[in-house]
Amino acid sequence: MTSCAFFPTSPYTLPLIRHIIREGKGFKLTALLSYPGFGLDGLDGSFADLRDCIGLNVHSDIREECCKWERLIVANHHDYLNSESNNRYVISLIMTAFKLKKDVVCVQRLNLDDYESCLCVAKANNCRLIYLPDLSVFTATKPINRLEKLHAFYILFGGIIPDASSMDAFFCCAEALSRKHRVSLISSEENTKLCKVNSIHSIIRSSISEENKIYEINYKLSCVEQREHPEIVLVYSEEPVVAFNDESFNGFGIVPFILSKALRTDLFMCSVPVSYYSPSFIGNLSEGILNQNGYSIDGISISNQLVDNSGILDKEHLSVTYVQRQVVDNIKLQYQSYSSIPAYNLIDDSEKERMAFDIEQAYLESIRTKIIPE
Amino acid sequence: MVTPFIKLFKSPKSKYFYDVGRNEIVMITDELYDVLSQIESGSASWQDITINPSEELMMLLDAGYLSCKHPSRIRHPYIDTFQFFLDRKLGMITLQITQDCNFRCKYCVYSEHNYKKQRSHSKKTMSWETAKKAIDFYFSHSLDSASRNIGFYGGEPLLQFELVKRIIEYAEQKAQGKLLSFNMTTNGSLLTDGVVGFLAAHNVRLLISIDGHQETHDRNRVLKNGAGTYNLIMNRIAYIKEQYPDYFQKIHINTVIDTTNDFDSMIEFGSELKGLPSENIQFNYIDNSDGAVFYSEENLMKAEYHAFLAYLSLCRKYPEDKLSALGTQRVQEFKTEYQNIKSSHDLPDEFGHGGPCIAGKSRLLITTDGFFYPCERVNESPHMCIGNLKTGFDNESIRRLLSIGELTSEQCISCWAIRHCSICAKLCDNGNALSADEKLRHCEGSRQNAEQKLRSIILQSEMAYRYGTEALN
Repeated sequence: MTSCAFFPTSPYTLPLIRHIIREGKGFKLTALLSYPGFGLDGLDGSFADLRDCIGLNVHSDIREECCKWERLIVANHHDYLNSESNNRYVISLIMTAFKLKKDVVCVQRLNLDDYESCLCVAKANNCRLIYLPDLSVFTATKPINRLEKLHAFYILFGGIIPDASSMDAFFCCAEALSRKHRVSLISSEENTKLCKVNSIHSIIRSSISEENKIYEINYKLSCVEQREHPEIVLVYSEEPVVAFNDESFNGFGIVPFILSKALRTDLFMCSVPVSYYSPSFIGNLSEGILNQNGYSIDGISISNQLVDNSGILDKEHLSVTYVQRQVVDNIKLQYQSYSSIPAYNLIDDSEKERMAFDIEQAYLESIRTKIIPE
Repeated sequence: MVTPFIKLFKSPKSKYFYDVGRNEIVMITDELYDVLSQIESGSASWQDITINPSEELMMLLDAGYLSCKHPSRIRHPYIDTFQFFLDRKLGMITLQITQDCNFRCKYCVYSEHNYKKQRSHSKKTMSWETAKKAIDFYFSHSLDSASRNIGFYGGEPLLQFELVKRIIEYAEQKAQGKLLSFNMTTNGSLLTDGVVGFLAAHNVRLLISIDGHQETHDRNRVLKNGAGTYNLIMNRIAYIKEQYPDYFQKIHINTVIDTTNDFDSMIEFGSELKGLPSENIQFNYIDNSDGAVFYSEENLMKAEYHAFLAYLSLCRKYPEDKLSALGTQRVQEFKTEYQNIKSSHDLPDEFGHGGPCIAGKSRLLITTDGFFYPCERVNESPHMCIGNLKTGFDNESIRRLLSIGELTSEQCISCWAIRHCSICAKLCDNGNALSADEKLRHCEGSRQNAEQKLRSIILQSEMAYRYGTEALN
């Protein structure tokens, strides 16, 4: 099993980090790295999202503890960390890894010159650069103008703000359900490629028409069904399911809309920040999503996030801060009995199990009631 | 007596009510306006009216308007969670580099003669150790902030340029991973060649105070010996314009409007500032939290005239490039007001009036000796202090500042301007404590501002209706 260091540790990559730690097949995380000014140096990685402890402290100096790992994983950093200075930092980090005789798996997109420079340094140090983003621009696989019939049970994971907490729900379910069922995973988020999740990222980011994206995603799903014969397919949409408000448009919910046309969503698990969890809000949200996408909310994962409403007014920018588990527990306790939609606090292991159990029951029920094959 | 929680408005063109619960302005017929006026004055009963409502009233009631619901309790929405924001999401910090200043502006809040509630100029200067601790504190309390911003404030921060330089270099070295920016409020007199070169290289956004024409400026903004400072500053700005033309474009000017000065001479500037984008010039009135400033009729009329031109410009009846900088600022304010009014559902049982922010979250002031205040505008007195670098945030003090709504719960619950109130802890400070009486003194002004804002929104929507088609041509 290859020991790896992971960069960058942030609230956006933590669900993936936790999944790799729990289920990493073929590699094991032994070190966490972050930008020096991020504020995590010397702290357990979980400080980034105040969820369950990871047991690995974050470092910003790649040389520190470099004897503990053989390979560096460079994940795609979130949009708000995307700057010229950070891109330069990533290149220097990769170069340093090669000089330390470490292989690098890179999901962060590099420009062609940087990619070639990294390759040169890798070769000179007898190391490998495993580059996961597509090098070529996505083009349509074939002229298609029809939708393939999909047979598996499709569960969509998404949220109302661009964050990674629905990725946490996605991986938790994947881990639990795959113990008993054939499960395939689909994701629009690029970093999930690290866990061999089927990626639709390049289709979504391509410049083909929205209509063709629907066909392409549907076609890809049918290929996955033919190849993997899943009973259940879990689909993770990084992009929020609706526009947040008149200041923060969040992509207007376009990607989840495209997904709703490309596949039939049997269950939708929606992640909602704790500061927005109330039965009336969830009811209205569910109705809005039903009108827009044709499916309603079947379960809520309450994330331990508070939306910074004053930040939206001041900077027209949607951002959050994280709260401890008790805050989520209290709010859930206060409101849950007033809502018909089940809610889960995924910081709690028993809640993860409960969510997976409920989803499995819904799947089993769907098989039981499916009288006529579609 | 139960009545709808609304405020009635009329313009020369139409009649409206502002629905507090929905935060919406609704145009109504003259008939309904008259009925609602009678209810407002107590000459008719809402209960009687709703027994047999008109078609218009029925429609509004069915759509959820004209609710009689008031909040039952005033409570800041972040009272239970503010600690999380302060622990992880500080927006910016302002470092009080020194309390010393080489100017003695006559209206300055730190003057030895005015503003008894505020500290006075002193020789106190921040030490490097305090500055370093402040940066470290900020960086460890902004994990969830997308970017960071450090402000330099005084006195005159450039009296301690070497300290400023060291802070910038230290912060940049520690900041990798998130965007970092700097800004500085300066009187501009110490922007010497070497200083400007460094500030430009590190992209420090400058806010320089200039009060219009030379004569006006020199009346208030003077050196310790009483000499005017206009030429001194303008020489420095001319130097920047010549040597660092790109940096010059980023300079921001703050003009303090002294209502005893000639209005026109305050809002026009010399040729030295030609080429500066007019949106880089901002106007502020002299601090009137003590209520001591006199606004002459002429002054107010002229301010209104510039607002009028701004309205005309909005409906394309007056060229935007002919507006004064004050007019440009008003256009921006009108647009923001128009965009910022958002529909809502009914008022919740617990509601906090507009005004108080999470003290320290947006622009934490750290003084020369490491004490925390919500921002640079508040009085630096013990009851406004919210912590220090040694012990961190004082949550009890912050809770007190956030809870100013509870000082006047009874009045706030029934106030139609509850959503648009602009009273924060600063205006409740009587010099010794946060006081309900002091707060209530500002209520009328705050309500007038809210009314003005809503009238402006009405006017804008009416103008768009009247001039919309024409404006397109």
